[in-house]
Amino acid sequence: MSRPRKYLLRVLPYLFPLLLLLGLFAALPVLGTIENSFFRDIPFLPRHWAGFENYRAILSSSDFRKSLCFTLLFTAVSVPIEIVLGYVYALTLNAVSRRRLLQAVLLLPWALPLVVAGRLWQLDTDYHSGILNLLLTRFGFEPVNWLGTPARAFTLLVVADSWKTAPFVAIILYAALTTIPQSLYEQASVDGAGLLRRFLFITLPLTLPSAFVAGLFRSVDALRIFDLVFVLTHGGPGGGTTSLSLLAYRYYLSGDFGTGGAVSVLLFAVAFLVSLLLVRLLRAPTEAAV
Amino acid sequence: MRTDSSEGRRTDFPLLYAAATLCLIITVAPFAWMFLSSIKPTSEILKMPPVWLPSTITFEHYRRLWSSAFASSMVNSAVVSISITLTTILVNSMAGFAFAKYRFPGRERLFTLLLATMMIPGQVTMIPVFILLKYLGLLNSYTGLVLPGTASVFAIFLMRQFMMGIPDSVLEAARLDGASEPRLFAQIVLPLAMPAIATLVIFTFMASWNEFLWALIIMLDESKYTVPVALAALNGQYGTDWGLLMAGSVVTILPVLGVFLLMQKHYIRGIATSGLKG
Repeated sequence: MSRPRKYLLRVLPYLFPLLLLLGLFAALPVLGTIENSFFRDIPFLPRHWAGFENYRAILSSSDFRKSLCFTLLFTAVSVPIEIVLGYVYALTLNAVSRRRLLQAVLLLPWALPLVVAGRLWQLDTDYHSGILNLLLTRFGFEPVNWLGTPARAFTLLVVADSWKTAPFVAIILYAALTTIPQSLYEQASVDGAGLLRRFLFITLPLTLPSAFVAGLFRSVDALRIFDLVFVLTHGGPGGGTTSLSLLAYRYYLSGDFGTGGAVSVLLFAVAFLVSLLLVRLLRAPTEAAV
Repeated sequence: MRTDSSEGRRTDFPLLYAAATLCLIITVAPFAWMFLSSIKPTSEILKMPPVWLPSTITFEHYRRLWSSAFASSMVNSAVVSISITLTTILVNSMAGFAFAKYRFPGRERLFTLLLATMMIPGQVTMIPVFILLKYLGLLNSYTGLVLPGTASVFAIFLMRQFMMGIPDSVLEAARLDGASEPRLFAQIVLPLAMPAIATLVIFTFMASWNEFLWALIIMLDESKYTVPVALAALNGQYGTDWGLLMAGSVVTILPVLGVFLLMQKHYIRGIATSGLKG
């Protein structure tokens, strides 16, 4: 028996369960979705080959363009906010002494099911009795109908999503902070570097790779946003906050598997392109930092 | 004041305490509102202008929750989440071990391929997985809910990175003492990987406990609903029953918080040493 084959036989028992699961529940479904997207498949009509017809139809529909814009914009706005907020949380955690308790408390939003988080924000931003409008009126502003316009609904989604996921970013950044040698800061202090300079020249470069990984995980998640939109805005008003996931789901729900499949494949392509772009864009500074 | 130099600098900036306080307020305020709403009489929850503190504290919402279908959904969720967590750890630590400690042809390429599956949105694979499970007769079953969630790319990434940090010399020494490969894995590698496992327990338990869409689609009987689905279903026929919903939300976070506090000691080390630094 050749050596490589012997090696393969030795690792196969360890890899087999994972490969089986991924094959069944990741690879096979993806192939199925791709196949679906090339068929016209709607209720009461026979399924037939459609070539790129589904793609042509969906790419020229305004619903799709609107949804794509929303999804990209949502990711572009919320992920940077989450990273900045994550830094604030992580630096705070690293600086205070009662960190065990603070850590648990700061993580609370992340521990909440998105469905619940959505409902919670619904209650907080209720026009009549939400805490947000209460504060606004207390300070002399007009109450705001937070789901009234697409822009406001968008803002609400960004706020709710950042609130929910900044702790995830914070935990990853905090872990990176704990690995920075204390002596670096002491040396910098001796050399007369202030708080800002120490952050810019020590903390930031040394945690940038972690921030990048967190940003990548978050971007892929944000592009696929579903639960929060589903609960909080139902994709409205006027379809202004319908994410690509929700759009695909709606097509599936109406029994149009071909179009739903096409939207799904396009969403996958977008997620793939964005992460590829991020990796390219951020490789240079990340490698310099390591 | 204690000084422990390894743990980080003691702060001398009032600014930082202000930041800490602000973080706490942002985080906690909605929870406080949630908790207060859960012990308010129904008439005060949506009152205009809002009532900060309830005039009388009532546990009526919790009592109603307990006698509704929600109680059994807690049990369902516990069964499902624990199964997913245990399976995920077993499957991914095995694969992580293979990727970290054995050389075999195509190793790097296979690993990159696995990472690429991370980009696949769950909603993309939903319908085909649904059809597959229907074919296998696993719809409306716990197995069908558990299995698709167990092959996690994040998990295998974490396990591999962490196990790469275990020195080969430790494994060699055990081999010389005559330990078989499976024993090596079970008795040496797994205990050493505890920080990574703890991290994974928190992430996986939280994710599976909170999973909504898949659980919504695959479970057809109301008696088999998991917590998030049951919570979403609490929407009353005549509008939202906020008291019940908020009580349900409070109860929902408790298990996750428990798991977190249990594993907290290990997991920061798990992330820090597993090179999630990229």
